[in-house]
Amino acid sequence: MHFQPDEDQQAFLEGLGRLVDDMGGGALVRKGLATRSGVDDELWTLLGDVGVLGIAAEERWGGQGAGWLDACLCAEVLGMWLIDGPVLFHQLAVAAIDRFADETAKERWLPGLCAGSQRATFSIDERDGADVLRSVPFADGADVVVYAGNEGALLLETAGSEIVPAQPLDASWRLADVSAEEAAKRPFENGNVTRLLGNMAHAAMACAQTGLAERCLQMSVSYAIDRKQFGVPIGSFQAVQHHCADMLVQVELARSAAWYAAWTIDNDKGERDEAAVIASQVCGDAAFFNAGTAIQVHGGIGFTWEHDCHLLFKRAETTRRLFRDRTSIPARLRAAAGVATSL
Amino acid sequence: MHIGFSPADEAFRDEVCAWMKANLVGEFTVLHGRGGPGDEMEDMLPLREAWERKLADGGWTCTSWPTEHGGRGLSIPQQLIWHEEYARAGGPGRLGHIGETLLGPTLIELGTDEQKRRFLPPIRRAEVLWCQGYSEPEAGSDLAGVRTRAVLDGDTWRIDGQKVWTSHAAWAQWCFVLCRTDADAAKHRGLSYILVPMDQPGITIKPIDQMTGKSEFCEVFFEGATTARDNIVGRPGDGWKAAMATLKHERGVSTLGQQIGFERELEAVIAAARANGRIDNPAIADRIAKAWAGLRSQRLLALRTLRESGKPARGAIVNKLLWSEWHKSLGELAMDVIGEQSARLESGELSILQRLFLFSRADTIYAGTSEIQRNIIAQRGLGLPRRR
Repeated sequence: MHFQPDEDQQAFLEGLGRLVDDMGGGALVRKGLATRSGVDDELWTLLGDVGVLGIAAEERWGGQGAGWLDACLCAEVLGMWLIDGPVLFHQLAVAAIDRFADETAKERWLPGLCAGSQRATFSIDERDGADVLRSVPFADGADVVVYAGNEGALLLETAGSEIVPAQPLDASWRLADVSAEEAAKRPFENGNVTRLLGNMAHAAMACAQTGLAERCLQMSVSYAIDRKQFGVPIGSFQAVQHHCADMLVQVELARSAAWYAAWTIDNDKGERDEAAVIASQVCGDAAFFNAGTAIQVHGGIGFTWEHDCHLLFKRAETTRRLFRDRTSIPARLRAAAGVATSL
Repeated sequence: MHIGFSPADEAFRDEVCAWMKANLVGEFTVLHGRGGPGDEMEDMLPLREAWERKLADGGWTCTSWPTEHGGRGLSIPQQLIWHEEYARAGGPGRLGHIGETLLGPTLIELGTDEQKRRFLPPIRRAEVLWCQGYSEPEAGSDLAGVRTRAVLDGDTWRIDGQKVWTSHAAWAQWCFVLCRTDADAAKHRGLSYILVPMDQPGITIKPIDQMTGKSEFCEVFFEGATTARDNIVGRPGDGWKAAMATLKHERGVSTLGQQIGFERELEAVIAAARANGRIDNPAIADRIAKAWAGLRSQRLLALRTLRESGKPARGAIVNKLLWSEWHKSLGELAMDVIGEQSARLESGELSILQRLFLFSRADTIYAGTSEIQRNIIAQRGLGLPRRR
């Protein structure tokens, strides 16, 4: 049993954390707010240079040849600073092309995607007759969309497609509706991998949500130590301590479920479905609980635009819903628990 | 990262399963899944004691103790496996758990050679049961505030005072008592950890009637109770240190076994929902599904945070708060599933789910209340400042 990152993974993640810190940490997401695509170019280039963007693609394409677990562990680090979104979906598209697309598609896309000179994103909807290209995360500015419907996955080069951005609740999270000609859509030929891609998405998002929950905890503890009222740090009051304790519980639960889901993608085929469903529920709840509790601990300042609490709160709300209905998570969760209903 | 047990440990799992299958048979089948908190089966004491001896004969008591003291020196993963498979096979609650998991490890760390020689083998052989004399009417969460006094009179300690919430007091032969030996010393420094035989005129035991209608917890009155001078762990004044040593050894490995019991209860909730149709109520189905996900992630948390040695992982500190709150919620969910029927006792006895509902109200109180747990998590786990 070694239920934690390996030494080299740990070293890589610590390096990534330092890098992000050096680039401004919490300021990074606000830089992205000012862009059209939601992606800060300087950060994007750097992530390409250090191998994060191509982490899960084969080395022959310029990738790192690592597993999906490694991408998920990156998502946790990036998720602390709310810069996971475009990276996560790019990595998923890269992994999908690398594992399941034909050789021509791989040659066409992977080198540029691994280097970061091009950007990909991902969407999914398992439901019969659904429009998978509605509300695609970070589609505006993406060069290619990998999307998975109930008949399988497809690849869409966005040049020539119509991309209509939506106004998001979470300004740091971009969504757009994409319309394309049928001729521009290229199906993946290697079987129907939609469910697997959905599980990979949930595992990565669960890790990002864990990072978000951890950040809420750390911010709240720091604030509670610094902020004084009645002559003492508010962190010495039991009610505030209890809020922080509850947040720690959520982080530790979430981390366990998220890492397990990520690990099963590479290591335990039979457990992937169940692990993804557990992680989706537990990590979505954890991120939301912690983001809400963080606002409470911060008091009035937590309600300002200037402070980061609202960004964490809106992100937690957005991602706890993301792809849940589209991949039938509520029904799958009930089935896994043994309470499948006719609903 | 590897989330799984080694082949050697999986072989150990098979060994445990096989032994349990071969031995939890015959007269013992009535004990299957019983004997947990709130289900002590006082009327079946001789049978439970016989089961403890069977475990002892098979070498399955005190398995985490070092081999020099009769244990198997099991690693943490193996201890997890032992607890999980024991529970999965329906192994009943362990009468000997206080001696095995609390007193024994304390003696191994802090006891004299003579104390180890005298007291450890009878625990290992399931010949002697222990109870824990800690809480008092005036000292619950504030354990260091205990007032039970021990005074040395020649070669004998004389003990006067009262303990409360002492489980198994009615059938234990010995008690380890946290008591005050120096009234003048600062609170934590005037305490001692003294071993006292239960069967003597100076000790009176009164069961406490609980809201479950049962009374497995007791008041224990010490009125001129005596024990030999050498029956003290460490020196006078080392009591708090010894009590903390006991806690340190509680690594939480039994949590996987406890979770098996919780799985059974969750299955009973689902069965009840299926029987009365509430399973088709989406609100109920979703709550059950979330409870299930919560239990599964608790198992993952245990696997991730339970480590061999060194500084415990940060997540280990949340275990008790987490399981007890989860369990209490399950009790409430169970009553929502049963509905109006929760107000009646069929055949005069609490059903499994009614007993779960009532007893789980104690879960967030004993072994450190949820409020104390949160204080400890915040202060020791997160570094938040104590109130001055």
